[in-house]
Amino acid sequence: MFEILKETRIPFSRLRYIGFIASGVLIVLTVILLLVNGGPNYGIDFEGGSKIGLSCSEPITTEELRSVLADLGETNVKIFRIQDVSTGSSSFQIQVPPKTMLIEEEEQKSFSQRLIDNLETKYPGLEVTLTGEETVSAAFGKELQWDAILALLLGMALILIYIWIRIDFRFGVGTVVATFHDVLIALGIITLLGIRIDITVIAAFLTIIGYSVNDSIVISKRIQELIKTRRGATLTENIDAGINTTLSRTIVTSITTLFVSVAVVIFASGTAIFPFAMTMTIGIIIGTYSSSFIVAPIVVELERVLPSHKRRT
Amino acid sequence: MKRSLWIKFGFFLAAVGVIVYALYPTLRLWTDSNMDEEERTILKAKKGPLLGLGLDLVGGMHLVLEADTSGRGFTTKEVVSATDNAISIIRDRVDELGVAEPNIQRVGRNRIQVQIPGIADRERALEVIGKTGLLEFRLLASPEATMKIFSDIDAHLSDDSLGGARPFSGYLVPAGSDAAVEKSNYRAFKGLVEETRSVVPADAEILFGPEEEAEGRTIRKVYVVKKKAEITGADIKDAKAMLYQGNDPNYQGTWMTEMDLQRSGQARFANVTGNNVGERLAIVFDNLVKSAPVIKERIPPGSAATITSNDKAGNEMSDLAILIRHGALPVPLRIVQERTVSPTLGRDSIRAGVIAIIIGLAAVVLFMLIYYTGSGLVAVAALIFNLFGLIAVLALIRATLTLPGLAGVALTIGMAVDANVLIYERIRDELRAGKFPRSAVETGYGKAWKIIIDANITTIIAAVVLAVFNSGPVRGFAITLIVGLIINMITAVYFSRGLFDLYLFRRPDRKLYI
Repeated sequence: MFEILKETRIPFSRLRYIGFIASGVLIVLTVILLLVNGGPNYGIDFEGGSKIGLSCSEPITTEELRSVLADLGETNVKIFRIQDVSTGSSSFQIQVPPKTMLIEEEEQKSFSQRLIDNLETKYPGLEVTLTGEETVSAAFGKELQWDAILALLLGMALILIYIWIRIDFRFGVGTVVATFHDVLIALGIITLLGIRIDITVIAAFLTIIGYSVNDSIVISKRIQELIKTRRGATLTENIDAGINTTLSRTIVTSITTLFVSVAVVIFASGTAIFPFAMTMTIGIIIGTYSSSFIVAPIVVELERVLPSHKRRT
Repeated sequence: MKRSLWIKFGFFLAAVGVIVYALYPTLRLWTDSNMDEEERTILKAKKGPLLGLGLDLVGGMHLVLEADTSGRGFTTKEVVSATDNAISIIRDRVDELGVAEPNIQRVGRNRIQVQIPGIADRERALEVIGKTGLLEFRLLASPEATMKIFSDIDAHLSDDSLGGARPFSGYLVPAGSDAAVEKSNYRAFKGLVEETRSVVPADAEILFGPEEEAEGRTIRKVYVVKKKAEITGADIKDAKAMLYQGNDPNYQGTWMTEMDLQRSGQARFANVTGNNVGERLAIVFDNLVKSAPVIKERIPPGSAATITSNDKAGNEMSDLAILIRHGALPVPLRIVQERTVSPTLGRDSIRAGVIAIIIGLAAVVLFMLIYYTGSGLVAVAALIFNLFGLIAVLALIRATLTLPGLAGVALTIGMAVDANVLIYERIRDELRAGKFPRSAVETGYGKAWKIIIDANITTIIAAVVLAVFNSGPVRGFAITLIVGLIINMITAVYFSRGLFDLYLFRRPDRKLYI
């Protein structure tokens, strides 16, 4: 039998303060970061605007591109550069604010076409191709944002109800707190990494929620099973035993899921799916941590505040 | 025992049969290089299982247009019907682009989703589809009223009411019987127009004509147009360009446009033309005055209206006829979302996605084989069966594979082994407790089963919420995840269990490699 972990006896209940402190610090840092940053970085899905993908036959610098954009009256632009070392070509992701919508009456040309024309005029010999363009109007973005928030809240509410019915309220509260914790910290980390929130990132959040709850349920169910079978043991003993006996499963599942999500992060680095894969990867790691260090300790705390008759602490 | 194994084997064969049936057309479509375009189109149009590729993978254009019905006092039903009318017009326009397999549908009440795979000329597509496209017939203000408005604006701009200063009309140059502004002055002039809106009477506005060449200069005509639309594109039945057929010698050899009206507009048009003989009726498209013919006579209900011109080549009139015919949108449309992916980027995305899946899968397989040895092999077999099953079901429901969908497939691989991991960890526990292999397997599966359901259902809930709240590529992800997790539960419990039962069938105490 090949095992990552031999039988472990980690006293999670006693170590819960370490988890609380670590998570507390992370959450405080996230809140500070979000305050300093003025909220998360929204992508065009929510803020409105255009995202233009360009590929240039010869390398040009970000500054050169920026000056051409300024000529077109766009100064508030975010540029992400992807350099292809082997071919010497460079490609860019440009994000412009929502005012430039598609075709302007006077110009008869879309903004991206004018940008390409100007680049090719300014740098003769340079060939620029449009690899992709996304435009969302500001009003439509607001709507998408509202839908996303609604989806997140509804998803969490439904999961809480499910856990409440299937396990019990205490674990439900613990799981939901852990889930909020996961999403918040993941939000902090992707903000720190400069990833912009678009629809796919919201999809990743919801998947993280599902995944994190999945872990929590497996552990909670095991603890419940132990409570039923080991009547002599205290709640904390059962909780520790529950977490320890499921620990290798928790880790193995995280590893296999991480294998694929990291593979997507690496190979999809230039594609639209990168923010999703990155968020997913971060979420899996935090979700794995929280299901062992946050859910059960919260149940222990809840038991101290509201003792149930059946259990002894 | 033996009988139940045979039943499972039967189910397995049936499942393999379904998978082959579901995947065959897709496989043919993707790999058979002898097929020509026509055969492909026929195959795609056929009912039956087929897995299509999303626009983000094949490249193409995705547009969401919104019908602006605000301030029109429409009921919900009228909004929907106006949008549906607009859809049929958009469909005509897309057909004009000559692209294969466009998908145009209404989403919600007042939005139109247009999907055009593999679009080559984005600019042209945007121009043809994305134009606001509202066609209106509006009366011009009389020449006297127009002059009065221009001088009012001059007076307004020159602060003192001395008169004489012409900061506004000084830009104007004559163009036939109309006033025009030179291209070089257009921006400045338009700025003044915006600035002095309040001076123009509330029932009129200043509009421009398209750029045109006149006597060696590029100019745009300037018109004062009534705001009220006498008839709109919705009232037009048909329009066509033809050679002039009347008796007026001035027009011999020129082209004209003949226009038929729907019953709904005939009476109104007869009234307008009857009451305004000698006035001009502007044909306004996208707030651009395309033409402003003089009303020569009342057009009685039921007869066609003709617009004469001095166009000898016929281009101008055929353009006008197309505009009147196709530009007949009942409500203005706005593009609220555009997503265009070049076919190259699409191909790169497919490659990146497939490589990620293969590498991820290889890593998971390797890990499972090392960690669980023989039983790992069982899990891997279940995983591969799972993967084919997932793609087969997606083809059966005729889903479209998107880039997030590919990510969903990858994630499903990672999560799929979870069920087996749960079961194996249980079996290990039972073996540690000293149970015989067969009973360890039985207890392991029995205990893990309920947890597997509970744990997967929460992820499925999250995915269902995603599928409901999203359209487009993310829904592809959600559907992939839902289907993947359901198949995963079935294969983990039946398929891998069957393999264990087969292994332990004759000797319940046979050593388990786990």
